Amino acid sequence: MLINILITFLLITNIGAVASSRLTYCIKIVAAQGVVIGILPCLIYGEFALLPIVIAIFTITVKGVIFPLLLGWSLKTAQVAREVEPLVSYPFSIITAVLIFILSFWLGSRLSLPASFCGYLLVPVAFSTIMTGLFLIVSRVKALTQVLGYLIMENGIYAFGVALLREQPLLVELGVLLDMFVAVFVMGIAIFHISREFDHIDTHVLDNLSDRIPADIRPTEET
Amino acid sequence: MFEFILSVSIIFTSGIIACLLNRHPGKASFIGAAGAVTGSAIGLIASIRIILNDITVYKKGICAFNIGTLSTGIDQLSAFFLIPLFILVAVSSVYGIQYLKPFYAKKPIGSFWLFFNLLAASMATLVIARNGVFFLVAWEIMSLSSYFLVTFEDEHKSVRQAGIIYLIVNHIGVMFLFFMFAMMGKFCGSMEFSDFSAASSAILPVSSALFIMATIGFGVKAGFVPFHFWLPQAHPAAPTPVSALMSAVMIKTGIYGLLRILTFIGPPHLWWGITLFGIGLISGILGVLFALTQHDIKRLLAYCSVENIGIIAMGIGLGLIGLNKKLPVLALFGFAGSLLHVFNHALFKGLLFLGAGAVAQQTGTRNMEILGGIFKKMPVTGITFLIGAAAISGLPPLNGFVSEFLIYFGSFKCITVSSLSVVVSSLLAITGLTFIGALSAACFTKVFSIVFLGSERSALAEKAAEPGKMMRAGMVFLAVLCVLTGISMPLIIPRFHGLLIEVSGLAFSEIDLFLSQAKTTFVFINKIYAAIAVVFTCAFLLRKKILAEKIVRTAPTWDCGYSHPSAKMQYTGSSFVQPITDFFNFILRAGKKTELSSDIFPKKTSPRFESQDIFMRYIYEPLSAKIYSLIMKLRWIQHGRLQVYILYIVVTLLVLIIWKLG
Repeated sequence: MLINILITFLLITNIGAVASSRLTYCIKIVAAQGVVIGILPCLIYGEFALLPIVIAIFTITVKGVIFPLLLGWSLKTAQVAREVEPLVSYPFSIITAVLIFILSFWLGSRLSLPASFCGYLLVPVAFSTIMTGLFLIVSRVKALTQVLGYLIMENGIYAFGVALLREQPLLVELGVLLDMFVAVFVMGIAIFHISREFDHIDTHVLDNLSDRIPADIRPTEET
Repeated sequence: MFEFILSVSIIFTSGIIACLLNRHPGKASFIGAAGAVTGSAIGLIASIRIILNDITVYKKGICAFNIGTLSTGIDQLSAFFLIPLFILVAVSSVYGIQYLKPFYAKKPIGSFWLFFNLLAASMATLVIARNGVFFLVAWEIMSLSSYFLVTFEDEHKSVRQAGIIYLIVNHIGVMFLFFMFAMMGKFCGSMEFSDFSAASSAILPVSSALFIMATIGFGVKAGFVPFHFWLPQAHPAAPTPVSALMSAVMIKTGIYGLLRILTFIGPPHLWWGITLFGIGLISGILGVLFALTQHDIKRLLAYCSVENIGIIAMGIGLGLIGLNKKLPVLALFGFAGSLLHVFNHALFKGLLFLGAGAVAQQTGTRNMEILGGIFKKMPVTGITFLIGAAAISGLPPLNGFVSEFLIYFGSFKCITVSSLSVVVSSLLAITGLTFIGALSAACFTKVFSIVFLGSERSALAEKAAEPGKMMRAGMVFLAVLCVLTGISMPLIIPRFHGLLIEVSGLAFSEIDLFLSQAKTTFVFINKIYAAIAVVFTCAFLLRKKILAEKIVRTAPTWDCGYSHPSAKMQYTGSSFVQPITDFFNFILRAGKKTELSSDIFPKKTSPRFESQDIFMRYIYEPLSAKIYSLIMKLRWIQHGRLQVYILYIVVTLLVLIIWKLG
C-alpha cells in the first residue's frame, strides 16, 4: 500500500516537473523525487537489512540534499532568469507527459519481467520517469533544465532497478548513483563556467560554437 | 632483424622526444633529425648487408589485439625498398633542419618532427611487416602522419584543401586494400604473409579480383592515372623535405605493395600485364604532358612523379606479360628495369624536390615565370638541379638512363617474338619511352632554363642566395649518388639476383644468364662513357689552351646588341613549351587567353596561360559537386541543435523498444 502511494507520488512529481515554469520549483520537485526514490528500496526489500538502509541514506543525501544544493548554487552564480523557457508549451508538455504515461503502461504490460517484483505500478512509472526526463532534456532550452531532465531520467532508471531488486544486487545501484554524482558535479561546474564565459546558459546560443556557421556570416578567407 | 627494429625505434623515439621539446625549436629539430639520421644509418647498413649476402629473415611476431600478429621479416624485396627509404629519410631530415629555421617563431617544430619521424618509421615498418593487419596499421599511420605534414602550413587555404583531398583519396584507396586483405585472409585462413604464399592455390579462383583491388588500392598511393590527382595538390602544399620524402619514397610503397601482392596471387594472367602496362603508358605520357604546362615548380615535379611511376608500372606490366608468355628475357628486363627505376627515381626526384625547395625558399615563390638567372647566385643548387634534371630525362651517364635502358633493351629483344601481344606491347614500350623521355627532356629544359638561366624576371629572383650548408649537403649527396649509380651499374646489377628470384619466381639459371647479359652490356656502355670522357677532357684542355692567349670578355645574359635589354624580352616558360602544348591541346585543354585588340594602335595586352588537370576538371570536380549537392540535401538533419539530437536518440530508442515489444 505504502509502496503504491510512493509510486503515485513519483508519477505526480513527473507531471509537476513538466508543468512548472519556475526553475527553483523544478529543483525542489527533483529533490522530493530523490527522497521518494531513496525510500523505495527499503520498503521493497521487506525484511530489515543493512545494505538497503545504507543505500537509502546515501541516495537521499545525494539526490535529496546535495544535488538540489549544487543546482541551486549554480542557478545563483550563473545569475539566469528563473524561468524554464520551454520549446514546447506547458499545456502540451502536460499532455505529452500523460501520453508518455499511457505508453509506459503499455510497455510495462508487454515486458515479461521476473515475477518477484512488487506491484504492477512500479515498472510503468519507472518507464514514464525515464521518458519524462528525456522529454525535459529535449524540450527545454536552458542547460540547467537539461541537468534536471538528466536527473529525472536517472531516477527512473534507479526506480526500474529497484523493481528488479531481488534479481540484481544493490551494488549495481550504488554504481549508478556514483556515476550520476560525478556527472551532475561536472555538469554543475560546466554550467558555471559556460555562464561565466558567455553570460548565459542558453543552449541555443551555444549552437554558434559549432562549425556549421551560415554562409552569410562566415568570415571570408584568403584565396 | 634486430637492426631494423632498433632503427625504427630510434626514429620513432626521437620523434616523440622532439615533440616534447616543442618550445625549443632548435633542440627539437636537432633531436628529430639526429634520430632520423642515426636510425637510417643503422637501417641502411643492415639493408645493404641483407642485399649483399642474399639473406632472408622471417620472425613470427606476438599476437596483438586478437586480430593480427606483429610478424616481421626481411627479404631482398624489402631490403631493396628500404635502401632508398633510409637514404632519403636521412638526407631530407638533414635538409629539414635548415629548411625549418624560418618557421621557428610561427610553427610547432617539435610536432613536425614527430610526424616526420613517424612517417619514416611507419614506411620502414610496413616494408618489413609480414602480416596483413600489421601492414594495414603501418599503412594507415603512414597516410595520417603524412597528412599532418602536408597541412604543416595550414594558414593557407590551398594547403588545407590539398590536405583534405589527400586524406579522402588515400582513404578510398585503403578501403580497397582492406577488402583485398580481408579476402585473402578469408581464403587462406590467416593474415600471415607466410600463409598467403603457402596457400596460393586457395587464392587462385579470386586472384583476378585481388589483382584489381591491389592495382586500385596501391595505385592510389603510387599515383597511377586516373588516381594521380592528389599528387599535384599535396606535393606543392607540403614543406619541401616532406614533399621530397613523399614523392621519392612514400609513393613507392604503393609499388612495393603491388609487387608483394603479385608474389602471393599466383601465375599472372596476360591481361594483368597488359592492364598495368597500359596504365603505366598512359600515366607516363599524361604525367609528362601535364608537367610541361605547369608554372609551379613543385607541382611540375609532382606531375613528373606520375610520369616516372608510369615508367615503373610499364616495367612491371612487361614483366608480367613476359612471365605469362614464358619469355624470361622480357620478364627479367621489365622487372629489373622497374625496380631499378624505383631506386633511381627516389634519388633524382628527391634531389629535384630539394633543389626546387631551396629555390622556393630563397626567392619566396614557386612560380617559375617570375624567376630566372639564379644560377649565378645559387651555383651549387643549380649544378645539382641540373644533374637531377638530366637524370630524370634519362640522359646517360646518369642513373635515370640505366633503368629506362633496361626496359628498352628487354623490349627490343622481344619485338621479333611471334606473340602479338608481346610484339605490340614491346613496340609501344619503345615508342612510349622515347616519347616520354623526349618530352621530359623538354620539360626539364624548360625548368632549368627558365629558373636558372637568363636574367632575373622579378625582384624576387634578384634577392636569391645560396641556401645554408645543410641544405646544400643534402643536394650534393644525392647528386653524387645519381652519378655513381649511373656509372657503377656493372657492380650493382649482379646484386639483383635474389631480388629477381623473389619477384619473378623464375629459375636460377635464367636469372644468371640475364644478369651476365646485362652486366656485359653495362660494361660496354661504361667503356663508351670513358671514351666520351676522354674526348671531352681533351677538347676542354684544347679550348683552355687556345683561350689562354686570347682576351675573354664577359657580358650580361641576353645582351644581344640591344641598348636596353629587358628581362621581359626572354622566353617565358609557357612560350617555350607552346609548340608542344598547342600540339597536345586536345588532351591538355589548357586555357589560353590572349585579348588582342583589333585597333590600328594596339593597346596593352597580356596573354595568360592556365593549365588544368583534365581528370580533375571533367571527372572529379563534377563528381564531387554531385555528391556534395546530394549530401547537402540531408543537411537539415545536422543542424547543431542539442535538444533535437537527443530527440533523435529518444525516438530511435522508443521505436526500437516498441518494435521489440509490439
